[in-house]
Amino acid sequence: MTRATAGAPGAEATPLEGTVALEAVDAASAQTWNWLAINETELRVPKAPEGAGASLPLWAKDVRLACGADAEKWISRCTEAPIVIEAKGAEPTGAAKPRGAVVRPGAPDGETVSTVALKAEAGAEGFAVVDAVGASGTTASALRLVALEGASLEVDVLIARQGEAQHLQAIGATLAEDASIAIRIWVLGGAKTALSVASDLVGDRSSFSSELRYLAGADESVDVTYDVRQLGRQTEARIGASGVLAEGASKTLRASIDLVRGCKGSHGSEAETVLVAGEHVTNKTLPVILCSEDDVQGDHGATIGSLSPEQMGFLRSRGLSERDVVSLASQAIVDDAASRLDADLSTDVVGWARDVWGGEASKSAADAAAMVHGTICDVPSCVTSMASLTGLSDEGEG
Amino acid sequence: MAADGTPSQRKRTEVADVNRGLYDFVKSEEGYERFDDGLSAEVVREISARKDEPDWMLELRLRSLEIYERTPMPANWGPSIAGLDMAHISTYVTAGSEQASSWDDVPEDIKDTFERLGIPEAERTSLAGVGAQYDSELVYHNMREEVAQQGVVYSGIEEALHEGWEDLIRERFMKLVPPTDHKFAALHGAVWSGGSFVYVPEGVSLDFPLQSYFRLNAAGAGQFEHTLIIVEPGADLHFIEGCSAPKYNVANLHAGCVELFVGKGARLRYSTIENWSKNMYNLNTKRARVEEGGAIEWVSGSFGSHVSYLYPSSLLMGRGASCEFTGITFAGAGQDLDTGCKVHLAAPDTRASVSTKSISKGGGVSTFRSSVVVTPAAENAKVSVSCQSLMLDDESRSDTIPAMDVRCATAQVGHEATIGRISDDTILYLMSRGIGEEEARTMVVNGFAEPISKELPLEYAVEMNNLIKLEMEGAIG
Repeated sequence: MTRATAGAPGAEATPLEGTVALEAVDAASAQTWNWLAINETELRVPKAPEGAGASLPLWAKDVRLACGADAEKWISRCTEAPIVIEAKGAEPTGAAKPRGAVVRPGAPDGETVSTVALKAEAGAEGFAVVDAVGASGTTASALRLVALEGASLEVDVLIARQGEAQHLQAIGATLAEDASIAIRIWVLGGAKTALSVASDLVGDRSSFSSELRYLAGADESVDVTYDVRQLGRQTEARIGASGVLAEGASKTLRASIDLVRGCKGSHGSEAETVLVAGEHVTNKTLPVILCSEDDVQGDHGATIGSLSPEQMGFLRSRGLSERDVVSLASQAIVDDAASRLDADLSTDVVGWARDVWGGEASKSAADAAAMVHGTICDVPSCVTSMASLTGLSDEGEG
Repeated sequence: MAADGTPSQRKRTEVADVNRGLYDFVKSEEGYERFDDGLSAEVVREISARKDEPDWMLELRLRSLEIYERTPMPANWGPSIAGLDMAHISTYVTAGSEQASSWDDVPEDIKDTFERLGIPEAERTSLAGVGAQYDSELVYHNMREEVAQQGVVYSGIEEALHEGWEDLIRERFMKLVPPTDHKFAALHGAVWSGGSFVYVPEGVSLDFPLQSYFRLNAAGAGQFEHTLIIVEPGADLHFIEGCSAPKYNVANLHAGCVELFVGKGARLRYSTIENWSKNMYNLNTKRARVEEGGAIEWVSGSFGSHVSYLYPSSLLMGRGASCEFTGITFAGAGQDLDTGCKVHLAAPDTRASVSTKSISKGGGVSTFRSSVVVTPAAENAKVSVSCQSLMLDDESRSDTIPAMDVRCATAQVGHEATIGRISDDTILYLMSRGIGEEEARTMVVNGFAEPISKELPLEYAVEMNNLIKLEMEGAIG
């Protein structure tokens, strides 16, 4: 994929003083008992500068976000200059038009907080990439996506932060007839990740898919909200989420599919798999299906847990310990990111693995990336275990 | 089906003879005592005085009233109860008759009510004991002699308080569902009246169920019965709860409370067929605590009410305790039924299985809401949740809002949910076999509900099928 990079490289991070709590972040569209503390989250962030915030074209303003009013306003105020791109369809005689945007929150050459508005004109293809890295501070990005008739958009999001760093990611999408948007998200690290995806399938036969893969260890927190509304006829929405939680990590997933009256022939599905690999893990899931149309199909499936004694028995008979299995599952997510993302992001995945896990794991990721992109980076020869991620010691595992 | 409904055809469906008059008939309130509408400390004191209660119960009532007044309804979830104005609800209505242990001693009007509902007949054929509440007070209570000889106690709570069970009641009453639980638990604590007290001694198994039936006859009234059941270790009980009311054009309120204590290795099946009228706000609370190796089995059918908030909850506190919840909700025109369950797994090797079905039709709103909480102590716990929803038209609504909070690495939790409609192919196939469209749809809905109805005793399964049949009338077009 050829990508045109937009944005303001090298811009200094907005100076911020003090912090403020953003409330009702990533709130579920259909809520439940408050004592469960699952309906929404809170995020403490640096104070935003005073001002009106980022100015967006009308078509972008209409795109709904699900991060909450506080978070939306905060991102807007922290954005120095929004990136606005209108991806055109094929133009045989014209010059190449920018078809997408890449933002790198937390990278030395990236904005700390960015706002992207991307419209794919009828029949056009476009892309957006978010590459959130770094070991400190709060980063954020808002993507507003509009796919007009027959257009398609691909979005890759890599959140590979470390230590006390946190990231706020908001994605909003509107789809016209026959449009499609596919979003792939990898959350590999960061003290707190707050991620929301809102999607309105307005046009008939539009389709939306999102695949989320995450890892969380130590006391990291991953907070995710999907809010998908299917309004057009014969629309298709698919949400997939899978991940590994270790040590004292916590994850909340609110996935909501709303089959709105009139969306005849539509199908919405949610699927989740969680490998719980720590004694102090908290895993919360709120998979919601709202339905006011009879001629539809909605389904949800979730599997949450660790390896069963039967599974472990089988694996032990093959010489694998539970720690090995958790390590493999974790490694698989990182390798998946390294091999499926573009070369630049693959480098960041390998870099993240090197910083957090050490050489062995990053070598595996580098190998995965190399199979697709060729050799992309040097990996230190130091070898450490992945015990820091899995929370399982090297001792006592038979 | 033949147009004339031949006997053989009626037998096949077992629902053809039902008419709505079975539930929707009104008896005069002439001569009844009715407290003024609204809620006040004076009303609470008067109810307590009427029952000659111990001081601690009055204190509980008054404290509950304070909690009620300061507790808001949640603003961010649940159906609207804007149509419920407590200033226009009488919290206590009674026919003034003594509680009887023979149907012959029950006032004629009330006796006729329960006969039309089939309660005396059920008692004769298949129950170990029956309690019948009419408005705010029990009017009939009886139990088979051989059951009493086993040491089983089945009475009203008021009677039990005066017959040597005060200490046990004080220890358990509103302990599982404290008044602070939510606004209408507090209301219940303030104005509760009637209900059942059941005590099953250690190791005693009842071959037949006990049943309590609650009938709310008065317009603009509330019913606040309290059911307290204690099943001692190794004992076994099936308790059935039924309820109905005639339809009025003013709001009625049901805010009952059920507290179930299931001892070690004991089993309690609690079955409910709820058919409140469609002007009823059903804000009921049910909770069970299950000790080591004990089992709670909920079978719940929700057909009536204008608005329901109903989530039987199970606290699995002992190793190997289990919960099985089987529920069906049928929301028709003018109904907003928010139902489901809560399960809290707090001990190793606990098990929970939740299977629910919901049907929406004619603009009805059905919401399945659940919570599964697996604490760090619930090692090797296993949970499965399955909810299926059937949409019968595009005027209705069906939502599923299940929440899971898993904090144990060795627990296994599985969840699945589906929403869909009856396929045209299925209806076409049945019609090609000579079955009318309406009956075909009813057959499919009955089949959809079959996993629930098979959990009920036969006569109650038939009643459930009857209710489905009633709801399905006019489903075409």
